Amino acid sequence: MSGLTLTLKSAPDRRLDLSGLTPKTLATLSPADIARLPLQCVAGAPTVGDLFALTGSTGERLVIAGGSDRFDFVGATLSEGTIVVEGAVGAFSAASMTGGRLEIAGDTGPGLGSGMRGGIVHVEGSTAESTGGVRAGERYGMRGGIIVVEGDIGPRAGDRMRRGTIIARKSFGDHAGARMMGGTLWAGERFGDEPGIQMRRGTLISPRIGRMLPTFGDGGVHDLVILRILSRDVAARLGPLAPHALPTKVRKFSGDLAIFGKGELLLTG
Amino acid sequence: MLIRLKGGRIYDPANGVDGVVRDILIHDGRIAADDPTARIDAEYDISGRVVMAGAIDPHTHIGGGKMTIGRMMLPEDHRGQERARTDLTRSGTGFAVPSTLAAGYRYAEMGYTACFEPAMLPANARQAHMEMGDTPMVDKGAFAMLGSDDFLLRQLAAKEDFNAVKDYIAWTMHAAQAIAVKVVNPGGISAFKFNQRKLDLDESHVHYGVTPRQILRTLSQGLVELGVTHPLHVHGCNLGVPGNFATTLDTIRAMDGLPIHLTHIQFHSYGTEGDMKFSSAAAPISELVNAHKNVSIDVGQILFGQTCTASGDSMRQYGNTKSANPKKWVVMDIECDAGCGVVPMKYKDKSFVNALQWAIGLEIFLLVDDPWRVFLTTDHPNGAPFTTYPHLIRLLMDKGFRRDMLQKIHPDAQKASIVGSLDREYSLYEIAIMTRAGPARSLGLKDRGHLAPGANADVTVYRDNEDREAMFTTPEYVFKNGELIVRDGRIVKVVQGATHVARPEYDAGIEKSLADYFTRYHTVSLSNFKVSDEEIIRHDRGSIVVQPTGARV
Repeated sequence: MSGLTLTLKSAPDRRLDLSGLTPKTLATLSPADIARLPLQCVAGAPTVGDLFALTGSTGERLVIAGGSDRFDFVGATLSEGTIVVEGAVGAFSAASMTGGRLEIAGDTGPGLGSGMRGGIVHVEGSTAESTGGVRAGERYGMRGGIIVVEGDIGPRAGDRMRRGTIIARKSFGDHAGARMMGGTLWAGERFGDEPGIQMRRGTLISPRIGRMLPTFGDGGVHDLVILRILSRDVAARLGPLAPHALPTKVRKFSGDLAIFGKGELLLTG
Repeated sequence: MLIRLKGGRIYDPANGVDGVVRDILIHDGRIAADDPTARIDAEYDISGRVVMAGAIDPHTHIGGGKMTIGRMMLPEDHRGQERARTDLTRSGTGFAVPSTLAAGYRYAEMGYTACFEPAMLPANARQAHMEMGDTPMVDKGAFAMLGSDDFLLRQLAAKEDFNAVKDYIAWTMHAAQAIAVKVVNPGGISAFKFNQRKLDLDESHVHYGVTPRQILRTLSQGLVELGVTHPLHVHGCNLGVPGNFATTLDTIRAMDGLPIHLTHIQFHSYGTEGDMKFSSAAAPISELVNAHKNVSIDVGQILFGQTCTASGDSMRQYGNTKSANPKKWVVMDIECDAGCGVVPMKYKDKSFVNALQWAIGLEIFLLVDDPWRVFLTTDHPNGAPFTTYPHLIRLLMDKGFRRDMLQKIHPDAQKASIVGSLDREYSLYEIAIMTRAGPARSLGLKDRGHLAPGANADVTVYRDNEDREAMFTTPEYVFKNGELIVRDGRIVKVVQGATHVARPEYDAGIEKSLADYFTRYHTVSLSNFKVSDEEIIRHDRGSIVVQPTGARV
């Protein structure tokens, strides 16, 4: 596969905006043009050439060799192709992403996939707060696509989430699915305290949780066909990244009954 | 300082100059009579270029609280629109509701040298002037909003002496530092607070018993007698309501020859025919406008994409909230004297209603004969941000392009509109009328909008280009007061424009009844209500130009 590699020369001394670096936006530019792109919207901003050494040629794959928690908005406008980050990223990566694939080898900062509409994000490390959550002033958080995190996901994941799926191989932090309006959060091990606070709609799936909210009602044990469909669908989309298929019998809680109560918390353990 | 612009093709409709090739001499910020022997300090060879006066936008919302609400409510409007600081210019952001600095820079980069804020509530005048003071590069001015304010409605209800009403209008223009007067949904903003959800031309306000017809005629007559050049700026009843064209026609007839300017008339030209009960009434509206020389209009063209509507018409904006996109809005009262509605909007070419709105605007442009009475606006940001003007100019000047664009819109809207059959193409001369000479004459700007000796040297030089959108997006040179401020669409010098006001004479005795009124009802004192010259110009915020008042030419 053809592709461009940006190798980090030295750690950045300030926060940077990498939203402009996607395979599609770079495709028509020469290496010299790419090296001149600013990485911040200020006078005298550092450029791609200041931070990175360029190798390879533009194609449908962009590799950022080296990471930093100061790399903000990585893949924020990604619509097609693949971005691979061989390290950590900062805040709001994959925000507003509409398609393609983003691979992050390290940890991510807050707001991963906030406002994302499509595509697949795979994080090998852990993520900070508000994964798939809402950005200040906006109405909705994540609106589509799939995020798979090998490690742990921080608190308030899926805040005001509308659609899409977030999968944690391990655990979610406290208040997962807060104010959620749709979509699915799926934990391999557990949710923290008070999952689904003020959720209106949507699905939370986990073997165990921390403290349960008093405003969730126990609906008993169910055999839900939709879970088989969900497992099969996720397996088809994610291939080897897909989590184990869900058990057929789950215990269902409805909530948050203080708000609207059409959300569901499914305990698989 | 003497500058010669050599060999440009001049379009100066105010002086009847249509594409004549000649030099322009600028002497210390003013256009000077040509003198071949003069010693020139700087010469620009602009042979083959198109030269016009700096463009004037007579209706653009660039100041007042509603813009600030829009900016605060729509952080998504800022994203991806950041503008970095440079050695000359400061940073800014925003697309539909740009920050003040970004708005000033972008206007200048498009060759505009004056902009007028049409909806300044007198109680908000200070904020509006501060915001306009923060808008660099362009001259500006504002229209004071009257017609739903308690004091005027009380005067009308009590059938007070007409001279007192006139004095109140003039006093308001002085206090708010306005150049003209606008009325928004006459009486309707107030009626909304008394639970009325519409107020037709002859419908009575439930509390004051006053009708919009009375308000319109009183204000227009008052402005005529005061000698204010710009006619009453009217945002009529029933904005955006299907079938409202009948109200608009009645409004024109109701004036009996009194001058009015009907603003964003596109939003007031809707019929109720067809399956969707929504149709174009551009034809009857244009016909009546053509027949009434006392009427001028601006179109308020919509163009597709994300924008944000902002209006004093809280009654109608409340009705629009269900179409808000993104789903959030503000409709509020201001000081019990007016209202404010800010509703973000995304016009889609695949929506029948939006597509037909687009077509109705173009139909009006193409059906109204006299370019001196129709001004080019999108009612920024209500129909589209002002940055879309070059696209709109191309739609008017290039029928092939217009037809291509027509093919892209909702098929039923294509069928419902006559745009495809209209062959008219605007000439550069007519564009210069609509964007320069017309607004300048209508607003009473004596030394702006034309290029005769003595005029202010606001000059825009374009490279002639078949693609009119590209041509009007990036002028080659823009001069403001004789100084080069923009070169190839980039700012080379930052200047501060003047604030234009009109100050008709009145009997200061009105302050006695106003003082009683302020003491009883207002949250601020009468003396603090008035905006002083000093407040506008201090900290190098430009100057104040008092445009003469007198009988309309």
